[in-house]
Amino acid sequence: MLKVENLAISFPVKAGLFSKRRHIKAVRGVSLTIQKGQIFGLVGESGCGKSTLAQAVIGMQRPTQGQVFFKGDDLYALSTPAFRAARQNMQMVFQDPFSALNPRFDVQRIIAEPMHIRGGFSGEQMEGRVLELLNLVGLSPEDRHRYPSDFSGGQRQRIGIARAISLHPELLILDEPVSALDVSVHAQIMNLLMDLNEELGLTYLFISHNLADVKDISHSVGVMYLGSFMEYGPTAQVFAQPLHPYTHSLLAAVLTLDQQKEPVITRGDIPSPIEVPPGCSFASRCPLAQPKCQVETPVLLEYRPGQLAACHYPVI
Amino acid sequence: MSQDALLLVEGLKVIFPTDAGIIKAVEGIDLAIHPGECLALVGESGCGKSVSSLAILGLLGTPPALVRAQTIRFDGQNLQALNEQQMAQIRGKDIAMIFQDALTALNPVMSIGRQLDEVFLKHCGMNKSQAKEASIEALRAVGVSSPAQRYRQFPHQLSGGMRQRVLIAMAFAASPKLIIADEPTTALDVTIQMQVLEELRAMQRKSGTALMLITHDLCVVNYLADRILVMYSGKIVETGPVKQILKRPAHPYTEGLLTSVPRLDTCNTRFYQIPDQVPNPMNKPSGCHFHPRCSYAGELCKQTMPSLRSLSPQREVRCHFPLQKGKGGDSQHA
Repeated sequence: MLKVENLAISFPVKAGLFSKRRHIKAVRGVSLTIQKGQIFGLVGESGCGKSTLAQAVIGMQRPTQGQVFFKGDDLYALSTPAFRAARQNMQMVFQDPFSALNPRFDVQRIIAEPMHIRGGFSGEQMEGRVLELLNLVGLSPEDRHRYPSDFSGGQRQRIGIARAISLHPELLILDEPVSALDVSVHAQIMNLLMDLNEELGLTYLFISHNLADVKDISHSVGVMYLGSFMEYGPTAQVFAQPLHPYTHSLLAAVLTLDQQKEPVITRGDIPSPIEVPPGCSFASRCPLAQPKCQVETPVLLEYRPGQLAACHYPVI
Repeated sequence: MSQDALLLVEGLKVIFPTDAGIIKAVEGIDLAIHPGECLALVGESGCGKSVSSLAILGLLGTPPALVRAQTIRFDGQNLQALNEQQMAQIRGKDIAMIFQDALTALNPVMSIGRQLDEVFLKHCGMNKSQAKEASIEALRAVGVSSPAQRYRQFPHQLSGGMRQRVLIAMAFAASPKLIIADEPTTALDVTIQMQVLEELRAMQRKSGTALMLITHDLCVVNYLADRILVMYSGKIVETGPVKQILKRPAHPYTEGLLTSVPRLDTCNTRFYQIPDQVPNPMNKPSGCHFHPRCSYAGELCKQTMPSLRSLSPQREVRCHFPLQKGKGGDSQHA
C-alpha cells in the first residue's frame, strides 16, 4: 500500500544576512512499508520529524531526497491529475478537533466538503452518504444540522474522521488523533478507529507520542528520534524485547498506576535538528553510550526477524 | 481537619449566567490543603477543576462569573474580604501558580532572568544585584544547565522542558506556602515530562510547600500526590488518600477513569470506555450526574443526588452504591 524509501527532508533556515545558510534536517533517511489493512505506529517525541514525514507521505511536503510509493506509483513523479486521484485515496485526521473544522459550516457541509471538491455527486447522494457516515462514526442523523461549537472534543474528532473517510480512501494518516482528548473519550475514539480498520479494511499511519496508544492498535511500529528510525519492527516484539536504549528509556519513562514502580528518568535534552551531533543522535543521552557512538553513525540492522535497530550496542 | 488547614474552602459555587441558560460550573465543593501536602484535583475537561482554582485565587472575572463560598480561608486570612491590591500581594508571594503552557505564561519580550528578578524585587525586598544572584541560583536549583547564560536568554530560545523549569523556579522563588499547578506537564514529551515532574517533586519536598495539582492524568497523580479529589460535572465524587483510591476506588466514575488509562503491561484488543460523554453543564441529568453513564445505576440514582458521605476517617464518596472493593462500603451490588 505505502512504501517510503530513504526519505530525507530539510528546511533552510536563515540565521543572519552574512552567516552561512543552515538547514533543519527534519527527516534523515527513513524507509518504511505498510501493507494493505495494516496499522503502522509512528512514535517519537516532539521535533523528531514524525509530522513532517506524514506530510511527505500525503503529498504536502516534497522530500529533499528519496521516494514515496503509494500503491506502486512514485507520488512525486505523477502527473497532476494522477496525483489528485492518488491524493483522494489518502486522507488525514488531525490532532486538534477544535481547529480542524470550519466553525461556520454545519456538520453536513463539513462532511460533504470532500465530495463537493471532487464533484460528480448529486445533492441526494451526498446527503445519503453523510447519513451513512454519521451512523458509522456513532453520531445521530439530527447532528448534521448542528455546528462544530455544539460538540465536545470527542464528537468533533468523530466528525473529522467521518470527513476523512467520506471518499472511501484506502490510507488514513492519523496525526495524534487522541492526544487532545479526555481519558474516557480517548478510549471511545481508539475503539472507533479499530472498528473502522476491521470493517472497512482501512490502512493507517498512526502517529503518536504516547507508546501506550500505539501498543494495542498497531501491527508494526517505528520509533523515531531526531529524524531517523532508532528501532522498527512488529509491535508485540518491540514492546516485549526492545533493542534500542532509546526505546528502553521511552518505555521506562511512561508513568503508570503501579505504586511500587518508580519511573526511570532519561537525562539531557533533545539535541537541535539544526546541529545534529555526529555519530548516534541519541549518544548524548544514552546510558549505554561508548566512545564509538560519538563518532560512527549506526545503521539499521536486523537483529531479530523483522526487528531492526540502529545501535552499536543493542540490548539483546 | 479544618483547624490546621493552610487553605480551607467550604461551599464554593461558581455559576456563569449566559443568554442560553445558567452554567453551573462548580456546585458547592469543600476542600482543605494542609502545609506541605500535595492535593490532586482530578477530572475531565469541564468538570470545574480549573475554575475552582481560579475562583479561589480571585482570578475569575466577575462578571461573567458569579462566585459564592461560605469560607475561603488561607493561612488565617479570609480571602473574600481582601481587596484587589491585597489579593495581588498574596498571589505571587504566598500562593504561586504554574500554568500548563509555559510559552504563553512567560513574557516573550523579556529575558527569563529579568522575569525571575521581578519576583525577588517585588516580594523579597532584594536589590538588583541580589536578585540577579538569587535568580541564577533558582535556575540552578531546578536543573537548568549553565544558568548564568540562560539568565540572559528569552523564552523562545529555550526548549519546552526548560521553559517549564523556569516557571517552576519562578513559582518557588518567593518561598510561597502554596503552589497551584494546573496541568504542569501535559504539554511535554514523555522523557521530558519525567524530568520536570521529578524536579517538581524534589523542590516540593525540600521546601515543604503545599501543592495543589490540577490534572486529568492519574499516573501523574500517582507519582506526585498524597491526597486526591475526583470531580465530575461540578461536584466532588470521591476523595481520600491516593494510595487507597487508586487501589480500591469506591465511585464507579473513579473506577472508570482508572480502567481507561492505557496500559503498557497488559495486552488489550479493546480499550475500556466509559459510555457516552460528560453532561452538558447547562442541562445536567437529574439525580446523580453520573447515572446515565454508570453501569451500576438504579432507580434511586436517577432521582436523588447522593450526598458526600464518609467511608472511613479519610475517605468520602458521593454514591448510593459505593463499590464493594472500597473498604467499609455498604454496597448493595456484587
